[in-house]
Amino acid sequence: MKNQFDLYIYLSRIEYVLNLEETLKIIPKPGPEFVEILDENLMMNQLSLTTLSDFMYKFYGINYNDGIEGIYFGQETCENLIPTLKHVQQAVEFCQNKKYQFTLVTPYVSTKGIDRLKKLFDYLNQETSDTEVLVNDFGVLHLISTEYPNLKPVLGRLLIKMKRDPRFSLTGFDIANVDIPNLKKVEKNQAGALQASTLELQAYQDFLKEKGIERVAIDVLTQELDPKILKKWGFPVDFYWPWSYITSSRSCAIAAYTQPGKESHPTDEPCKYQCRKYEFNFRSDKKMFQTVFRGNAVWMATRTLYEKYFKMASGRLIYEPYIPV
Amino acid sequence: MKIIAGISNAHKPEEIQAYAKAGVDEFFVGYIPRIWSDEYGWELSSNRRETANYQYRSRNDLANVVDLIHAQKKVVYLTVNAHEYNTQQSKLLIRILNDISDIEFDGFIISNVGMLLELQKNGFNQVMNLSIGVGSNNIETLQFFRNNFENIGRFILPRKLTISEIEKISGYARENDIRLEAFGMAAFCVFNDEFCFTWHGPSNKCFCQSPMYEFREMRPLLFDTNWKKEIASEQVGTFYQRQFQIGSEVETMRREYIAKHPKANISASEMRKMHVLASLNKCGLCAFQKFKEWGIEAVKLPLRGQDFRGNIAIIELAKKVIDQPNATPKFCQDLMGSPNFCSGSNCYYDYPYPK
Repeated sequence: MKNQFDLYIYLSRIEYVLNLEETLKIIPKPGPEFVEILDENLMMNQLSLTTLSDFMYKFYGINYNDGIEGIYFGQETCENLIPTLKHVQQAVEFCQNKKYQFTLVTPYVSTKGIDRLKKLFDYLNQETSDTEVLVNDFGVLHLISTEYPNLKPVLGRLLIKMKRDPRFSLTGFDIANVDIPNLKKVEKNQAGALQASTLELQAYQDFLKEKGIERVAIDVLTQELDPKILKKWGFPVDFYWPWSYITSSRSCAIAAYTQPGKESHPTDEPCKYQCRKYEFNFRSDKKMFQTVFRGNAVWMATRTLYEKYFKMASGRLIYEPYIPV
Repeated sequence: MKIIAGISNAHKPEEIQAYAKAGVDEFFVGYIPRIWSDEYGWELSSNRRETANYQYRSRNDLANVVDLIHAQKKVVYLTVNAHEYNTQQSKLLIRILNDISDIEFDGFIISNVGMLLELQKNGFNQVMNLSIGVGSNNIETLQFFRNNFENIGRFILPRKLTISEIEKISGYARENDIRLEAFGMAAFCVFNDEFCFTWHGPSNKCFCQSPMYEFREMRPLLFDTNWKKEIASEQVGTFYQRQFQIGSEVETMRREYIAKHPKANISASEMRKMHVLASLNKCGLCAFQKFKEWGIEAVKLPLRGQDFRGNIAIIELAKKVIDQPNATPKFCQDLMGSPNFCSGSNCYYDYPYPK
């Protein structure tokens, strides 16, 4: 039997969850005048929806809208964007009505962010059962495994730190020839190592299982991961698509840019949510996958890698209709 | 408060002695022997430096430098803080560490949890200092490692914590006998190391220093969550107008700021000094007094790859501030002697600090 992924939708804003039909709607082709002003995020929404729709119909024989198993809701890179309790309650209620599984997505956080998360965990721990919480911070994992027995932690993509870089997404990277006798051998070994993670180590798998981890999530990466290697990880592996995380900062470059004279804007300072109004675009002399700096993080579009990953996926496809900011 | 600094085979023994004399209490080193680089090159280093001249290459050199540092009655750690290792890499690293097990390091600097488990499983019972790669951004992370691992030494705080965030974490650390280390100067990066998965190293230049990043372009976002309905109902001209308005808002603000804040007249001598100071890549001297008060055990001066004389000057500056009983920001800024350097844009931590 061929592999088939379970479709989960990852959204960072409650408006997208509550208007899921609209979020996942393929609109009639906008005219060329609109194509010019639609940003990569919006264009990718349409392109990826079309890709997903075509694939699921062709290979699974189902309409993508009918194949949704659950919703991932929350934020991974900025604690200022952690959803409010009200929004989490709304998202949970929405999922209950639709019979979708609900997964709360959490970012890496400071002590202040931990306090925000505790409010959400208190609610989910008491009012729901076996709710998944995707963690991107060992402190958050500690909190869940020691204080919230009804929550199930999932290891998030920021805790599996495999290298990626948009500059080398299509053209490959250079290998420094300093005192290296056999470059070909190094090239081969590097290619192998880039597909791998410490999750291969049995001791680490056992440790994570002891902490309640039952599944892990990673990005679709340009180094095209080998299913045989992923099997060694000892967990079901879920893929995020079509936006792969590259890097981020607790000092928000977008917020700083919109405040002349400021060099940086620490997460700890009051936020005016400039990430909802601006982004940075990149240009490169190299051919590369589209990349944008949205919020405090850099994201790379990996839509075109869908075929191999979709066919390989036997866990979940965590579909991001929009950059999760 | 101690000073810890990174060194490599590019530093001569007399330079290391000079660093110790100038005030460095602890050193850290990287070790990439041939058996590693022959397999994985420099790009996939076993530590967070992907550059040949930031590493020791031979067992003898490594043993000599450890002896030299111990002869100065100073401490030395070995960095094994890459973000990821696969099975072959972790086996090779264990083999390398076994090969040098007679070299008496005072501990390791490590960031990967799997590797930490692997080292302990293989009988490496030295002190384990947790690198910024761990992401100790909150108290719960300190508890996580404290509760699950033995021999944890210091937690190295991520560079993007604010002063008030460090205060909270250090308050907990003091009460619970947890040791902390913070960055003092240099090696600043716009991104958080622990969550930056891009390529580093000379052959591929860091992402954050690449032309692609340097010449990024700000673009206003025209649409919100209801964009599909909007483009069906509005004329395209509306959006071009919106694009112009949002974009010009920021650019006008930036232009006005520049007009109101013309660049100061800088004397030739200060310009020369600024040029030297610029190599610091951010300065956290003004934060040292708070660090001392909060019990931060060490400040890091990552000096690898920098000029010897400049390094000595930096160490001496840091030492003066550490030894000064009440080193106010003014005291630190007077030491720097460059009002323009200290005007705010070169601060490691958020400044002025919240009351």
